[in-house]
Amino acid sequence: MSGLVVDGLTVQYGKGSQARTVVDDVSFTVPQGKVLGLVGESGSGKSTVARAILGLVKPVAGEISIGGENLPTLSAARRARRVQMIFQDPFGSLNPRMTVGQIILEALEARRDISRSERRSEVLRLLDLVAMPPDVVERLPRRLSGGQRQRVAIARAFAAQPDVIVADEITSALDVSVQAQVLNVLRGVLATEQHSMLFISHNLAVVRYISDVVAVMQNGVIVESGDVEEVLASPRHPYTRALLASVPQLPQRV
Amino acid sequence: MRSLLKPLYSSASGITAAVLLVVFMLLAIVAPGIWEAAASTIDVPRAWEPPGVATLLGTDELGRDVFARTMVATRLSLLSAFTASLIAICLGLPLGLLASAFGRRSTQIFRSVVGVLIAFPALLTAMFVGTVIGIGIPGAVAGIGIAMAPMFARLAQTLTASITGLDYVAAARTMGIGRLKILGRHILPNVAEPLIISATTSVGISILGISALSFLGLGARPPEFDWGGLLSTGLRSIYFAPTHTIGPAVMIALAGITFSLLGEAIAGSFGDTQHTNRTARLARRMAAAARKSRGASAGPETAGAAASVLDAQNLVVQFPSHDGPLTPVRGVSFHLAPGERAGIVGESGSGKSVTVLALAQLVDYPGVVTADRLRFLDRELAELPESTLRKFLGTNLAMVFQNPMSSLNPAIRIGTQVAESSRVHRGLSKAEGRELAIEKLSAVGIPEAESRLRQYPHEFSGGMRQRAMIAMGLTETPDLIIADEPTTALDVTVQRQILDLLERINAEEGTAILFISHDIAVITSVCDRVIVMYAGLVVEDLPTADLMTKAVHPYTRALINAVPDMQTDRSRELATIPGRPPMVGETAKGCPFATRCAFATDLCREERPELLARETGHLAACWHPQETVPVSVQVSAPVDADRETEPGASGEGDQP
Repeated sequence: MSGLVVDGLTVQYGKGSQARTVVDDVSFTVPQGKVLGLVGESGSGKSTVARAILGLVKPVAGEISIGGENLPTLSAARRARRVQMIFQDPFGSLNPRMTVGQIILEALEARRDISRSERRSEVLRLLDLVAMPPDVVERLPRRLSGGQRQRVAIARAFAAQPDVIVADEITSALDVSVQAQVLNVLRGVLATEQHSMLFISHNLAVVRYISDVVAVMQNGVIVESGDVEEVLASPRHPYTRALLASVPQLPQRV
Repeated sequence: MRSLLKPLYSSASGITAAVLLVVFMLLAIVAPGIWEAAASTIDVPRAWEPPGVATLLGTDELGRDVFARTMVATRLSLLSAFTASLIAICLGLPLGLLASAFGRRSTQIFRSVVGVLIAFPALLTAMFVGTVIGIGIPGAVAGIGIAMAPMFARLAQTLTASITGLDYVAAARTMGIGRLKILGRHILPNVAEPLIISATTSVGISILGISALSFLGLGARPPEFDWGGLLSTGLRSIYFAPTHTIGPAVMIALAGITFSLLGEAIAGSFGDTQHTNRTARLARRMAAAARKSRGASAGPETAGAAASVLDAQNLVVQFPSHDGPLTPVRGVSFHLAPGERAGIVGESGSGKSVTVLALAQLVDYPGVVTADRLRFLDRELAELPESTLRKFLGTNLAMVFQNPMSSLNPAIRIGTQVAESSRVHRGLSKAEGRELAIEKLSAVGIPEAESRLRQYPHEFSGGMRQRAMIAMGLTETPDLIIADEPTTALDVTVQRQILDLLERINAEEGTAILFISHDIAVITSVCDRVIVMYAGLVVEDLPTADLMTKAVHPYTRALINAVPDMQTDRSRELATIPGRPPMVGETAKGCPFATRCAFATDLCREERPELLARETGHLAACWHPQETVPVSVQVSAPVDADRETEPGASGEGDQP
């Protein structure tokens, strides 16, 4: 397993004189086995970074590499073994016509290290990892709650055993009590599976809870990054400070 | 297949279509066997017989029974129509599917080509193809099939494109699944329903098309005959044997109708519309029952209550459904003093949004709202006539919703929309309305309000739209602003600005605020009081200042501990609430939280606790209020408790 290195990533939408640079010379490293939280507001370019890493948009410049392999040059199947994604909306990211078992099995197809006969037990192991009972394999997504769906999506991302997992706003469509379940499950899986993760969120408290390092993005540029506790305890960039000041807080705990 | 057939016997048009379809199928199979002789035997002495018992529609110039001919023609007519549709599907479908499976470039080329083909009159295409292939049934069938193919191609392409944009297709792509597998696994099964509907309807269109070609002499040629051909021959003798046209005309029309109805019935089953009639009946019955109960409980109205902005007692909202009435709000009571800022917090399905819709009298048919008391500014809303009610609420209550884009009319300038309410309620002139709009837009912090008046909602950012919505509500200096998740779709910095704006309005104008959110941290940063809702009930109601020290309901405490904030201990797991909230309609007789509560006893499961006052300004509905343990101490749930083993949990929305 290796970490993710993004160097000088630049993404533009549109062509010629109408081109808009949405990600501008972004560089960061997700160390092996660590979680990097990428925070920023809508339009800051953080989701575009994710899409570029996943090969869903083509960068105009820069390198994205995992274990020395440059992702944009890899075939889709080889990239799949390097990086996987968990999407924001658990209602849109699962095919409504496929059962939970089929959804996870599909992700296992990318793996060479397990035989066909081992796949079934691997599905059950993954479901167990995200605290889902084995009997959900036969169920269709619509019979699951939002939190359960998101846990299936997490299991699917881990199924391919990629080096890096990109999680894009994965709790923002969930209720707070469900968010807590999903975050706990994610932390548990990360602890046992040793993957690296790029965790994208606009919620600073969630990023603080789950990440080891943090990068703050504004208008396509990373304005501040570093150890999560350090950056959030003593932010240097005014934008980071503005973000922190805006976080709604519960009254002081006793 | 069973789900596909179900609609056929669950709606009137479905039954009609099914019966007609069976009759047509039977005719196509047996008619040639029964009537072949009468239809084809030439018997010149019996030519031009009028309709009678032996020959229902009379005989033609060669003495053949026209009724028998019409029946026998069923097989050829239906068979050609089915074949034509099949050709159209076989040509169009793969084209459309492939066009969107391969890149944007091929999609664009495809769209322009298909666009041209569709613009070309189908019958003309069919005639051209028919002539090239050769006059006769094969030519006509191929012609109609080819003429209809672009329609299927475009349908398949648009449907596919809409699915291709979805996350689960992106997920499959990131897994390195090949294009064809994605097509077969993720796209086709999800576009099948609308395609089946169109295929069914297209058979009807084919019947009309082929009949038209035959009628023009480009289809069936003697001795072959189909309905179109019969119609054509019948027309030549229409002045002295009008019945000869009636038979084929009726059959063509009936067959066309059958397949249209069939398509509609199938579409209805997919869209789940067949319950509408029953739902409407249920709604009427519930409304009648509600009127009766209101009459009965009109007596014990407590007079002399303190002047209040809002006073709801036992508010109930019901929606009829085919499984009996659903009750998203099951008896909510609370009271809001002038200038107070209260927040209702609850998760999806807690009934918080339906509650405020009911307060604003915005629950639409077939929903039914009842309450022992529902008073706004000390006036009972149920007693106000409809016309007064609208004006009363329109001038004193402002609503701000989560999605300002859907609450603003995209085609009307912001200025016009902001001034609208005042122009309606106060009869202001256009110029006065403009002045007021500028004043209010400036008041909510929109810079250069004067030039922004002329802009349309899409030219505003999300935060600006939400400000404009608030400005609209402020034109009448309301006594209450109800804000339903007004900042959920906004970024944190913009959220902060909107919260500050609401606080400022409250401080300067004394406007009471009722703020709805699923995020307890947002509520506490803007409200003096927190009302916690769960499963359509208020479970706790207390001052924000006491929340972290005196909250006693296990749900309130769990909610507080489940939210990570900037002080959360990163080394510990977050507190979770085991299980899931009950769905609307799942009503246990006891405390609704009992199944997820670590302190629940048999009493909790048997009897619902009432919302009782604990001290001034603090109400709670709990048999085992947690008084001694500090709020932040997590009560650990049983280890396996969040493995949700109970089946089914979908409805995540607040409204049924």
